[in-house]
Amino acid sequence: MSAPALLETKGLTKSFGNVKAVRDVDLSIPRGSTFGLVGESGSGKSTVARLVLRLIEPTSGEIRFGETDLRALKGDKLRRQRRKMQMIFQDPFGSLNLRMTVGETLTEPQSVHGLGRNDAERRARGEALLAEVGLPAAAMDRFPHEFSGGQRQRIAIARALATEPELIVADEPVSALDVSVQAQILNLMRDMQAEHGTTMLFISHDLRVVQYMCDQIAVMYLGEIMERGPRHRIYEMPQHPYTQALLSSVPGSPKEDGKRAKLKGEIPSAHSVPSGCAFRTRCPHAFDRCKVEVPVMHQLGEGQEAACHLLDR
Amino acid sequence: MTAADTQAEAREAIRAPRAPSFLQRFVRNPTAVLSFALLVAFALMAIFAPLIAPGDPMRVNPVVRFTPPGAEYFFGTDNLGRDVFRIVVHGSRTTLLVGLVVTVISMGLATILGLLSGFYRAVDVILMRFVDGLMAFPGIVLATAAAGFLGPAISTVIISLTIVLISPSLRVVRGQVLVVREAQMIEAARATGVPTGRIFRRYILPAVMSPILVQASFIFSAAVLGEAALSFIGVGIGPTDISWGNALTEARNYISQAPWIVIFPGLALMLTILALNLLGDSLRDLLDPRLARRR
Repeated sequence: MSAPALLETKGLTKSFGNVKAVRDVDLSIPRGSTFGLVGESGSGKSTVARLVLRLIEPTSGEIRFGETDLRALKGDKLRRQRRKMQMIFQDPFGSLNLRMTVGETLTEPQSVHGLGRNDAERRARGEALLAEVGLPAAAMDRFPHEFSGGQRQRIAIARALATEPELIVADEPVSALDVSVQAQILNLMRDMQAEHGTTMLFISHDLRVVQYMCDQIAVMYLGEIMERGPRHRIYEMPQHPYTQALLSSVPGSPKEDGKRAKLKGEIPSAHSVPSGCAFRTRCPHAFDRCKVEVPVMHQLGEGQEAACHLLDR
Repeated sequence: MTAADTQAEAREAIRAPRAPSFLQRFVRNPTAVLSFALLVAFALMAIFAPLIAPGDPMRVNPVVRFTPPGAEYFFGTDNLGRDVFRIVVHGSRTTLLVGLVVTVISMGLATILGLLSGFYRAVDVILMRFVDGLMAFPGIVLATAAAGFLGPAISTVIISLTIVLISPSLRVVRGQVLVVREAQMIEAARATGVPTGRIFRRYILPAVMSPILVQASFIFSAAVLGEAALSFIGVGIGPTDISWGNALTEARNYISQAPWIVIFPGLALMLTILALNLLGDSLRDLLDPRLARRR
């Protein structure tokens, strides 16, 4: 919290027609930290990822990247800004160009941003990147389909590192992988981050993965942030009923003792967000006020905050 | 989750053996090789027509009219005593030229317009209404109208067939682009900071190239058939030029008397179109990266 924020959003909102996918999201990601965004599918996490990278246009709100107002950038200026912010996608097969060799995939980000003096230099850097993610230099002349899922995600990570970005947004980077491979990729990402000091926005539905990776965590539900705070606060003393329910649903967690309410039903459609508190239809503690009034964030110390009327009492 | 695990996975040998190149797979596909060889043979025939069948194909010799195929006249002679073999060989020049030019022009334009149309909504709205208008006319009627307006000549046939064949090709390209533009690799490329022009060249074009090649082979056969049809109904190339379509026009009157006058130009036409369609099919299979891996 003391470190200045590299990425900051204020009132970030995105509507698709009359569907509000993301509402009033305020994020502040300190430089060098890993910020986790958790939520069920349909909570708007991936939309946030695309919004902060300006891959889709926000309906309203601010995005600041260091000193830069990202929303003011467009065209070539925005394109050049992308050197500093890269993304890792969920599906390493879909996000790589199947018709480009690994070498081309790794030299392209460099050449489009004018890095490296010539092709030989960029290629050498490509090989160094491969070594860094644990792949042999021989992989340079091969095509993505010749690799396993985990190896492909290593290639995607190498591509994201190619421009030496300050921020990496990872959208469910291990959910498409086998559990045995997940841990290896997560370790690799942690090592990378430690080595380069990269700031990371890490998006996942998997609470255990987020706990392993992230310093700061925000819990999203139906496009809004329900609770946020440092990792130990979120995992040890969650204050929002939704966070509590999510945590107790983790298999084998010590909190899975029946004392805490389990989540019932499905996340409502973003077409018809409930009035008042978005979570009230599934909340075990919902009362009258939740229907009419949107809860505000309550400061709970150590940077933890949660939006719930229960915390008024 | 230990460091040893990480190293083990990383050192795991790269899975598949080197995939065979497109050329290697092409020569292993008998249909592709056969149809391609047939087309090359027709092309060589067209190029070297004066050497293969020397003499003026239009020369009339009534004395030998309706001679059946034999040693002297391989394909027999027609109602005016013209050598049918010579007509077929020389006719291939017009037919293949029209096919090639129409294919190159219409596929070239369809590719450029289709890429723009599939990628930019504003272009799409305008262009597609125009295409809808063009496609509302039956192709042969439109071609006939254009040909009638411009007068009989090879250039007429080329222009009118291009007008007719550009719309379906444009739709094919546009449809493919619409699919590809949603692919995650496009978003990944944008996130990386790849400029739009390069996204077109390195991501979208290669991904839509195989349907374009397949479509090109079908357009080629449609153009060959279209030229024959236009010439057959008399609005194609002039009566003094020869093409397979022209040859069929006159020959149809003698189909019972001297079937060879119809059979040989017809056979040439059929073989060309069959070869083009088979080549198109094999290209579609060979160019699909997912299908390719299974071989």
